[in-house]
Amino acid sequence: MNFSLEVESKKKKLKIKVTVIGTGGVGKTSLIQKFTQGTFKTDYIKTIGAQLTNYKTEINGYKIELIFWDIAGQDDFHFLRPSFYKASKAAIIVYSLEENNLGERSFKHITSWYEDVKQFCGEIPVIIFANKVDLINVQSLDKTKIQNLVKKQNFLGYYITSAKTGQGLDDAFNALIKEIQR
Amino acid sequence: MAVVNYPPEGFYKDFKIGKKDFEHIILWMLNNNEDCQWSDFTQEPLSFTTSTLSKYLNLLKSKGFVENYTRGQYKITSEGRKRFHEISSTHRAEKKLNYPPVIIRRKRNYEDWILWMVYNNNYCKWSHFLEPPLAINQSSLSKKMNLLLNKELVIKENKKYRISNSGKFEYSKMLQNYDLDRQSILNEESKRIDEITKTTIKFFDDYNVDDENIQFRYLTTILKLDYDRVKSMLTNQADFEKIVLYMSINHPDQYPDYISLKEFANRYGIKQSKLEYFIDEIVESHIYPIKFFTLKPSPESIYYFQENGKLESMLRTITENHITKFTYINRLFSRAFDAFTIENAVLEEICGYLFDNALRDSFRKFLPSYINYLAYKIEVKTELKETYDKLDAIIWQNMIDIFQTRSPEDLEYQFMGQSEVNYQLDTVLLEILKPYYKEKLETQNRVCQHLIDNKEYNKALESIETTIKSYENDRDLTIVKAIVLCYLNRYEDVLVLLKNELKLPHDRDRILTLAYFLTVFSSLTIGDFSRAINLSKKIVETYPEHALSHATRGLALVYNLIYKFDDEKAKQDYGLNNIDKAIALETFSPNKALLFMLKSRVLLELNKYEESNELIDKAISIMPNQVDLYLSKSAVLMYFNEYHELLDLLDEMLEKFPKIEKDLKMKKASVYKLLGNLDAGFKIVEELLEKNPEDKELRNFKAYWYQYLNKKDKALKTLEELIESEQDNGEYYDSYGEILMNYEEYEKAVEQFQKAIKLSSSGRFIYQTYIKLGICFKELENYELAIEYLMKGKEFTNKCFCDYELKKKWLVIADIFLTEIESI
Repeated sequence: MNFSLEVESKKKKLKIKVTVIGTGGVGKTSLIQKFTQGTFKTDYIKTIGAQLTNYKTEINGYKIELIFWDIAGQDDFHFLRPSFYKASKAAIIVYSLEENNLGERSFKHITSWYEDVKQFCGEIPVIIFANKVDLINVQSLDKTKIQNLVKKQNFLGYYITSAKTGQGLDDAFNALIKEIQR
Repeated sequence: MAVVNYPPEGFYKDFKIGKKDFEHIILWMLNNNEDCQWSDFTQEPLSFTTSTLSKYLNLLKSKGFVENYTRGQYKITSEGRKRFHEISSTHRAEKKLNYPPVIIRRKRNYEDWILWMVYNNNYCKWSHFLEPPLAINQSSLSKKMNLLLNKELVIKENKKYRISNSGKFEYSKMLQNYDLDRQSILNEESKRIDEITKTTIKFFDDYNVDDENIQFRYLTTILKLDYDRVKSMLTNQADFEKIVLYMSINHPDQYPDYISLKEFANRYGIKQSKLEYFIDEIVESHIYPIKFFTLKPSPESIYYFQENGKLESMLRTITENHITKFTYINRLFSRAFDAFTIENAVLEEICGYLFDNALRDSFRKFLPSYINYLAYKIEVKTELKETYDKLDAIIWQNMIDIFQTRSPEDLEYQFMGQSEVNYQLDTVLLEILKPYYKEKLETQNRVCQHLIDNKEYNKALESIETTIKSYENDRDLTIVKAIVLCYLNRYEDVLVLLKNELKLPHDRDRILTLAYFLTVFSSLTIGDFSRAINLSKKIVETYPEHALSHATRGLALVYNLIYKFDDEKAKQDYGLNNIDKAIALETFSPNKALLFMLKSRVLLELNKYEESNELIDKAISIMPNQVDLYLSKSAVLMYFNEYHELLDLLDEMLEKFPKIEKDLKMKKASVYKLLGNLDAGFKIVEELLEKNPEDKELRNFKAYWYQYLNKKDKALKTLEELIESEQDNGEYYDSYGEILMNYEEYEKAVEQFQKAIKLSSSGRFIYQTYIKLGICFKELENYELAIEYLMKGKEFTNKCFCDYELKKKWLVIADIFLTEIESI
C-alpha cells in the first residue's frame, strides 16, 4: 500500500486527507462531529455538497492534522469525484445498520463507493463504519455479510459504531490513524 | 333656483376700474343669464358696491341697453346685446387674437378649437373662448378645458392658458383631421421645429456637441420626446436635454466609442442616478410611446437605438425578409422551424454591414426578443382583411412560440437578479393575493390573468401596462403589475412601483395589505430583511385582523429561518404563530393550502419530517390540482432521502399532470440514480427520447447519463452532435466541459467552459461554469486564475435565482476549493 505522509515542515507537521463516503443519511457528518467535537444532533441535517472538518492530534512526536472530506451521499457532483478523492490517504465508507430501505441500500452501495476509491485514489486503507447500532437490536445483528465483504475487498476492517452514543468511534478512528501512521 | 353664470375670474378681477369695464361686466351677466337680480351683482364673486351698481345700471337703462322688467329684476335688450358684442370686439382688437379657420370651426369640436387658440396665440384667457366668434358655452368649455389640462396638452398659469409641448404634438395631429392643405400642415410643424431648433443650437454650443451624427440623432429624438411629459419630475430642461444627448451618443453606430453613465454625469453635470432613472423610464416606454432598443455588448455598456430609426428600419426589413423566406421554404419542404438558422441568417447579413462585427454576440442575444417583438406586433393586428395582412399573420403566427424560449431579454432577470445578492422565494406564494384582485382583473383585463396562469409573464406585463394607461388611477392594476414583475424576478422594479402605494391612507386596507405583502416579498429576495421585518410588523399592527398581514409577517420570518438574514431572530421566531393566525383568519381555502405549504417549509427547515409531510398533504387535500404543492412535497421527500415514496409520488403526478411528463420523468430518472439503479434511470431517459427524438434538453440529459454509466465516448459524441446543431448554445459547451472534468481532462475542459461563458454570459448555468472553470485551473495548478474564477463563480451564484439548496451546494463547493488552495 502506498500511503506516504506529506511532511509539511521540519517540525514534523503532517496533513492527512481522509475521505468519508457512504449513502446519504447514514450518519457520516454525525460520526465526524462526534469524534472531533464530541457532540451529536438528533435532527438530520443534510450535508450540502461536501464538508471539511479538521482534527488535530499528536502521535509519536508528529503533529497530525486530519482533514475529513465528508462528501454528501446524494451529491450530484459526479464530475468532481476526481478532485474530491485526490490525494486522500485513507477512506471511510459508512453504512447504516438500520433494518430498512436505507440500511439495505447503504450496505449494497459499499462496493460502488469502494470502486470510486480505487479508481481515484488507488490502494489506500479503507475502513468500514457500520453505523447507527443504537437503532437496532445488537443480539440479532448478523455480522457475516459485512465480514465476508471486508475479507473479499481486503478492507482494513469494520467497526460497529453509533454517532449518537459514541460507541466504537474511538476504536475505529484510532485504528485508522494507526494505519495511516504506518 | 336657477344657477347664475358669472364671467371668468380674469374678466372681473383684472379689469381696470373704468366705465367700460363695469358696463362690460353688467352686460356680460345679462347676456349670459336670462335675467339678473340686484343681489347677483352685489354678492360674491362680483361684490359691486350699491352705489356703483346703481350708477351703471341707471346709465345702461338710460341708453336702452337694459330693462328693469320688474322690481329688482334686470334683462338685456337687443340694443344691449349689440353693445355687449361691440365692447367684446374692442377687447379682442386690443389683444389681436387669432381664431381658428372656418374649416375647423365648422366641426364643433371644442377641444380642437381650444388647442388651435392656445397654439396660435401667445396665451388665451377663459373669456376668449366664451366670446364670439367661438362663444363656447360655460359648461362645455369647462369640461373640455379640464380634459386638456388633465392630459397636459394645455397649461394654466396665472389664469392664462398656453399650449404645452405635448399640446404642440397633439395640435399637429389634430390638423391632419381637417382638410387643410399640405403646406399649411407643414408650416405649422415648421413653427414647432424652429422653436426646438433654436434651443438645440444653444444646447450644442453650450456643451460642444459638434459630431453631426450625434447632432442628427439628438434632433430626431428631441423632436419626438416632449419635455412637458417629464417636467413635473425633471424640473431642469437642460437635464432632459442631457439625457437625450446621452442616448444619442451611445448609439450602435458610434461603437466602439462609448461614454459611461458616470463619465457622462461628471462631464455634463447631471446626477448619475437621475440620468440612469430617466433613461430606464424612456427605454421601458414608461414616459413616451416611442420604443427604444438596447444592445449590451458588455455588462458595463449599453447602446440605444430608436424604433423606426434608420438602423431599426433596416434591421426590420432584413429580419422580416428572412422570416418570410424561411416560412415559405419550410412550407415547401415540410420542414420545421429552426430559430437558430433564422437568427444566424439575420446575423450574417447585418453584422459588418449594419453593425460593427464586434457587436455580433450582443446582437445574438438581442435578436430573439426583437423577433418576438415583431411577431407580437403582427399578432395584435386584429384586422385580417387584406391578403397581405393574412400572409403576415401566417408567416409570424408561430414565431412568438419559437423565439420566446430563446429570448435572453425575456429571461433577463430569470437567472441573474437585479441586485448583487438574490434570494429565491417560492413564487407560488404570490397566489395568496389572487382572490383579492382576480374578480376586478377579469372585468378589466381577462387576457392578463390568462397570461399569468400560462406563465407568459412578459406578455402579461405588456398587457397590464396597456390597461393601466386606460385606468390610470386604478390601484388594483398596479398591484397586478407588481405581481407580474415578481414573476419576472424584477424585484427592484416592484419596490419602486409600490413605493407610493405604501403611503396610502389607512382606510385603503385592501390595497395596502397587498402592497405590503409584495414589498416584503421583494425586499426578502434582495436580502433586505430589516425592511421586510419592519414593514411586516407595521402591517400586523395596522390591520391585526387581516389574514394577509399575518401571512406577510410569517413570510418574512420563515425566509429569515431559511436564509438566516438575522441569525438571532431566526432562533427566536420562525413565524409559526403568524402563519397559524393567518390560517385561522383566512377565508379563501386555496390560500389556507398555500399557508399550510409555507408552514410545511418551516418544519422542513427544522428537520421535522413527519410534521412537514403531514402539512403538505393537508395542503394537497385542499388543492389537489395545484402542481406546486406536489413539487413542494417532492422536495420534502428528497430532503429526507425518502426515494421510494418519492417515486410513488412522481407516478401519481404523472397521472395527474401529464403536461409536465418530461420534467417528472427526468426527475424520476435522477431518483433512480440516487438509488444506485442506473439501468432503470437510463431506461426512462431512452423512453423519453424515443417519444421526443429532437428534444435537445433530453439529448443533453442523456449525455450525462452516458457519463454516469462511464460511457465517455458516447457522452462526448452526443454533446458534439448537439454543438454541431446549435453552435452558439453555451449550455452544451458547459456540459461538454463537465464530462471532460470527470475524466480529468482539465485543459480541454477549460476551453469548453470559456466558450460557454462567451456564448451565454447570463445563462442559467453560468455561475456553475465559472466555479467549474476555477476548479479546472486549480487542478492545473494555476491558482491565481483558480481563485479568480471561483470568486467570480461565487459572485454569480449569489446573484442568480435558483433553488436555495442548489445555490448553497455550489457556494460550498467553491469555498471548499478556495480553502484547499489556501492550504496549498
